[in-house]
Amino acid sequence: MRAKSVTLRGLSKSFGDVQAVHPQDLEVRAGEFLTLLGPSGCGKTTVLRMIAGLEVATTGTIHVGEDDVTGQPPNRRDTSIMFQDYALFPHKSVRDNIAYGLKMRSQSAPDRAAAAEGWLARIGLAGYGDRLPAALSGGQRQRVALARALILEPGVLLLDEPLGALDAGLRRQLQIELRRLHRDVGLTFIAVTHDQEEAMTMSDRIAVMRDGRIEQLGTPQNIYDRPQTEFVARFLGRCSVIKGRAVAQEEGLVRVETEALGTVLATGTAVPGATVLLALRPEALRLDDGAGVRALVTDAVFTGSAVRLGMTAADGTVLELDLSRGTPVPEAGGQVGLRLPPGAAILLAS
Amino acid sequence: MTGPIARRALALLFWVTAAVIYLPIGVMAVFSFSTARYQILPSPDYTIEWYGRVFTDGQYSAGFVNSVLLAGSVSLVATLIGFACAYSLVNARFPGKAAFTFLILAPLAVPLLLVGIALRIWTTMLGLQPSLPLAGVGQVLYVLPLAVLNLRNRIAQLPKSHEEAAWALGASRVRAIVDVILPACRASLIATFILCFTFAFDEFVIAYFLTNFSVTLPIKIWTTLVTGFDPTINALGTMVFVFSLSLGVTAQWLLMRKDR
Repeated sequence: MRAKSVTLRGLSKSFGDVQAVHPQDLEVRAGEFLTLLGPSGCGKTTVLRMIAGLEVATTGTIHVGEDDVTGQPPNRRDTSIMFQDYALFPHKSVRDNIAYGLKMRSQSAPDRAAAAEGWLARIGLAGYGDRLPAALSGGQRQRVALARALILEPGVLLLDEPLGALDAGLRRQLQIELRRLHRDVGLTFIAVTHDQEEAMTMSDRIAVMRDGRIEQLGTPQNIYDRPQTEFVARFLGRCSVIKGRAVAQEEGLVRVETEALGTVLATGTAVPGATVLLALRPEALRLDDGAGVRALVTDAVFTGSAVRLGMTAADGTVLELDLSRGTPVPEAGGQVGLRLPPGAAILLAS
Repeated sequence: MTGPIARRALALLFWVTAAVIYLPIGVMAVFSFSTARYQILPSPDYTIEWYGRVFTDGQYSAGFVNSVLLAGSVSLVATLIGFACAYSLVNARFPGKAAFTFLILAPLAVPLLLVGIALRIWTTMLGLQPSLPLAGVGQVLYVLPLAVLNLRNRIAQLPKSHEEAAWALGASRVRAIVDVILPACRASLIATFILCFTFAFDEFVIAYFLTNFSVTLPIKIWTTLVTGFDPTINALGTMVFVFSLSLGVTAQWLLMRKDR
């Protein structure tokens, strides 16, 4: 198999006095699609550029497969990178752009042309080979950039905000296409994005980054269902955060006393007596007129597939709840009863 | 400053400036067609005799050929060194970069006469005989700041990712420069060459100090003028002006059109 693993050990980067990336360990499995997700300035692009060899690591090592590539220049690494602006060579035809890597490997001109035509057909741009990149649409350029990076069959493909330059509709479609392409070529993909939906749709695993550190690493489902910190909970999907005090541990659940929702059985572990934070996804709460916990409805927003109900609890905590279509929508200003199924709230590391 | 009066004032300022610059040259052009040996108006009659003399006098054509060869080599060398310099200034990070940039560009501010004298003293100390190639070396120093400035601006505009993409696809540093940076700078390189050419072609002081027998056109004009006026100079000056102007306009046009 061509796909290679990527192993980072104690990798860090500082620019002058600024520590862009704190020493990190990360193991990307061969053939996996891993996304570095985080807000701008969190160091995710720097990590990607260090793997590509475009930035020199301050400390630590990078292995691609078995090879230590830490000190190697980008042209000696078994990695390809696709840039957010695609970086297509503007004066070269689409065909020459795609075949550029093969030219650097001294393949003969007929071989290069044939390989490029193959990729043009594969990305649905057969017949576009003679055009200049400027004559293509944004989505077409993105596909040419992908083909150019993949024609070398690199062990690892690095994608810097691969869909960042496209509009929303095209983006959703290309998320799926990228995912399919990953499955077809069977290579290791490492992407960088600030878009949580993009990360969830495309990735096998997500590394959520913040301030130069990986805050949580896991499958999209795992990170959504079991965020470990308030930052991760809020960055991936919507959630309300409430305060409480752990009372007792009961078989994987923790009994937590809260002012907002009374006694709650939350997923996680905590030392009894500790002050804790709980994350609530909008789908966790249920309306229940018979429940003892009351909240004040502040607004109801139609989101298309559901109605999002905004509420404030007795202690002023802001809560959110998704009502499926067809359910009667309580009026703003009225009181509703709330029930929280055991385990629906997630205990965050404080 | 948007009222009609202000606009008219600005237009007037423009025409006055243009007149101050171009009227003397225009006068020279008019006299170049005059039959009179001295500048008198109205001209008794009109002729293109002086233009013919420029071509028949072997000294002028020799000077012209020398000047073209000299300016051509100077611009070629200056453009190449200037590109290398500009590329490093944009991409390299090294201590003293700001000071280095200043040193590269500073000769623009030094009086040319001093540069000429300094070069003469220095080359004499080194035991070099004055010659055209030596003048060429001196003129490269003179036009190099222009080349660096011009090309640095262009290289700084280029997205870094293009070069990085080439590296990631297996290109060496030099290969990436040849494949990605140079084509993107084509128009700027040509414009820089022409700009350097016009400056080197007209350059007098350095050439005067660093040559002896094989003279350039500006030196020929100078020596003709100090030994007594010859109306051929009017014709020659007009031709040189048209030549330089068209080169300058071409360079500006290339720079404004921008590389694509």
